[in-house]
Order: sequence, then structure tokens, then C-alpha cells
Amino acid sequence: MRVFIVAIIAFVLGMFANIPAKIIIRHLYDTEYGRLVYICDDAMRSHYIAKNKILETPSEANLSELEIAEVALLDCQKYDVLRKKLLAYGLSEHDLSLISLKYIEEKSSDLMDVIEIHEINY
Amino acid sequence: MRLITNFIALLILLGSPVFADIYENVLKQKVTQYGFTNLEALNPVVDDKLAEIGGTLFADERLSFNSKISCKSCHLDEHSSTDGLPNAIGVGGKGKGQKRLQSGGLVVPRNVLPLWGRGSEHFKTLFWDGKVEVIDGEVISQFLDAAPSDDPLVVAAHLPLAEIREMVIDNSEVDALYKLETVDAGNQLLQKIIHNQQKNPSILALADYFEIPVHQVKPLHVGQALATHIRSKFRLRKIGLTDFMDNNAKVSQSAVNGGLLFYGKGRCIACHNGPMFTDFGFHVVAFPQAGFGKNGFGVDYGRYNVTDKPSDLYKFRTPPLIEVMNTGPYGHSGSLATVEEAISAHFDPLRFLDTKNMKPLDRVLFLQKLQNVNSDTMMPYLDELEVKELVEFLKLLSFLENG
Repeated sequence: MRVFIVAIIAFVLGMFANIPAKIIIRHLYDTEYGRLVYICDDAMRSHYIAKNKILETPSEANLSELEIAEVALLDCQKYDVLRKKLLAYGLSEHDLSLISLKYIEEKSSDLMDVIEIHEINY
Repeated sequence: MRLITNFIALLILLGSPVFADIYENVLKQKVTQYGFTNLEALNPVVDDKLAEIGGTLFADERLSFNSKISCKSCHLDEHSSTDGLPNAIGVGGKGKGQKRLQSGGLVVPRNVLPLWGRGSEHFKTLFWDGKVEVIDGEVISQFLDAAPSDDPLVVAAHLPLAEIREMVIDNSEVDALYKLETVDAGNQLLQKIIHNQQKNPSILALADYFEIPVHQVKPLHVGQALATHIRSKFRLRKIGLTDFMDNNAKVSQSAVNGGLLFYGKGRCIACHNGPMFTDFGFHVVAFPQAGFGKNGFGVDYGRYNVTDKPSDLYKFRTPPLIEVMNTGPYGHSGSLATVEEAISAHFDPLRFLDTKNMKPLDRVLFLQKLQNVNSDTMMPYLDELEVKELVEFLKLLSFLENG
């Protein structure tokens, strides 16, 4: 019985200890992760556009642009390393998705500005 | 002495009604030349019964797969079939206007387009990025070669029902289905929506209308009903310009001046031509971005998202101008609150930016957009009075009555 109670307490403590740890880790890495999300996203988008440019207009200049875009993809390596590090620290895929979403959708707050600045009446 | 006499005569002539007639006549000539026609003649004949069923489905929140939202949530009568917001608020949104924006619903990162005239036969390019369009008689859409109909409006009516954030919450069930990223996955979701509604009186009415058992009602039937409702309710009506053209209705001198700017110096007619004042083409106009954009981080690549052609980056379909005065805010992200602002942003987009206080990234992104602006579609500078006159002309594109 005693073992069972200790196990339960250990489990509960473990569960709750995880929450502040997650908050601290998120606080420490939030900005860096958000920045890398953008940099990698930008690199991937630029690479995709460069590939499509060759398909649309094959040329030496566009080929050279694609090669540059390929080098820029290395930024995604940094993102990937941090992602794995944060997973190892105990953040879940869900936690990481939430941080990404926060930065991807960062500008949604300016929708209210459009309305407030112009005092649109509804 | 003779010079002075001539000068006085010219002044009298300039102020005379005869001269005003010349302006009006030139305007009328240009309006006709650039494809204006009796708008009501463009409305197709619709089946009233199907339109009525479509009307109930249009307002039916049960057509949302796993949330509570209908087409009508964002296409409101009081905003002339738009929602009056910069970006649409999809699943989770409650109420209207600011209340909806603050309700915590998910942002759909585009401005709601009005529905007027979408059912007319020549309207063959739908949505801001033309994700549904007719090319060489074939409907091109996300359905690829399996378009459910050869009617672009029917195809377009399917899409919001299956769109994540718009009418679908991205939960594990949807995620598992959409992970495949296939046309079939979209069709399965649409079929599930209809399957769950077999006791819905509107679906029963549809079965009755098409004379089929309720279990055979397909997304296509719903799409047809919605499209028929849109064709009927949002049919084109008589506008002020029709009255001016056909009945010689009196319009203000400002409106005439604005019209001449529209067809002349302002070069608006280069893109806003044809019966509905759109060429259905895709152009870059460097409007500021509001919200996070279709591509995230405040970016919306527009037409490029549909075609993957880099020459289509930042392009959006020329919006029709019918009812433009009542369908703000303006631009693909609704970043401009008034028509005056929207006109000014065509030739002086930097006016709306506080570049010093912008984040460096946002500044660079705007510069990239500017680099894609084609000089052919750039308006020349217009002063404040000219912009006001242009607005007076645009008022003539509003319906004379809404009924």
C-alpha cells in the first residue's frame, strides 16, 4: 500500500513539476525558436520560388538564384536542431506548434488597428 | 481688345451648360466604349424553388463540419454581402463587426468579397486569387480534373465548406483526413457533412427537389442550391450609372469629372473595365497588408499560391466595382478603410506606412511587393480633389435600390 501511495505521489509530483519546467523552457527559447521558424520558412519559400522561376523561365541567372537559395536552406538545419533540443527538454510537438503559430500569426492584432484608427462604425 | 473679347467668350463657354454637355457626352461615349451594359440583362434565369432551398442552406450553421458557422455569418445584408471587417473571422467567431473580431474566432486571412453578380454568365474568375476559374471552357480549381460541375459558381460554393479555419476546425479527425492532401480527402469531408444532415429539413427538401432518396444527396446538390441562391439573391440591379446612361438622369459635375478621371488621367479603366468594372485579370497593387496573410508572417503571395508562377507573386484579381462604396474595408486583406484610401494606395502606397516604426522585416517585405508592381497598372498622382471626384463617380456604381 505504502509503495502504491509513494508511486502516486511521485507520479503527481512528476506531472506538476513538468509544467513549470515547460514554462521556463518556453520562456527561455520562445524568441529564438520563433526567429528560426521565420528564417527557415523564409528560406523554404525562397527556395520554392527559385525552383518555380526556373520552370517558368529557364536561364543561367535563375539557376544561380536557385543555388543561392539552396545554401540558405541550411538555416532550416539550425531550426531543426533547436526543435529536437526542445523536444528532448520535454516540450511536446503541440507546444512547438503553438510557438510557431504565435509567430506566423503575430500580425493578426493589427486587424483591430484598421478598425480603431478609422473608427469604422458597425 | 479682340483678345480680351475672345477670353471673355471662352470663360462664358466654359461655364455654360453647353460645355458641361460635352463632358457628359464624352463620359457616356467612354462608358459605352469600355463595355458597360445593362447589368440586369446579365442575370441568368434561376429556379425559384432551388434558390429558396439554397437560401436556407446559406444560413444553416449545420453545414459547418465541426463548428457553428454558415455562409451568412460573413456575407451580411448590412454590409452589402460582405462582413465589414479587414479579414474574415471563421470558425469560433461570434456576432458581427468588432464583436466578431474580438470573439476569438479564427482569422481567415483575406477580406470577404461581395457576392453581387457572381452568378452572371461572364463571371468566370472567382476569389481574390482566382482559385476557381474557367479556362478554355474548363473549370480549373482545387478539384483538379474532377471538378464537380462545369459551373464555376457551383464549384466555388463547395470550397468554404471544406476550408480549415473558414468553416472547419482543424481537429485530429480533420487532420488525419487532410494529411493526404488529396482531392478525395476534400470530397470525403464534404460527403460526411451531407451524410450527417440527413434529417435536416433543407437536405430533405433537396432530395425532394432532385427526386432522389435523401442518402443520395451529394455535395454537388448542395453546391447547386447554394449557387442558385447566390444567383437569385445577389443578382445585379440597376445602378446610378445605368440611369445616367439610359435615362439621362442628372448627375453632379463632380461625378462627371470623376468619370472622366476614371476613363482618362486616372487610368482606372485599364483594369476596371467591362460590365462589372473588372478585367478579371491579376495585377499587383501595393496595398499594405493587414493581418498575418495567407502565407504567414504578414505575407500574402496572392495568385502565386494558385499557379506557382513567380511572375504571379503578389497579384490579385481586379475586384469588380459594383457596390464598391458599401463593401469596405478594401484590398485583399482589408487594410484600407475607405474608398479614398484605396484609390490613393494605387499611386501612393507609401502614404499608409510609418516606415521608421515598422519592423525591419515588414519593411523589406513591402519593398519586395513594390518591386513586383507593374508600371502598366500604376496610377498617376491624383490630388485630393481628384480623388474626391473619383469617389463621386464610384457612387454611381451603387444599386439604386436593394430590394
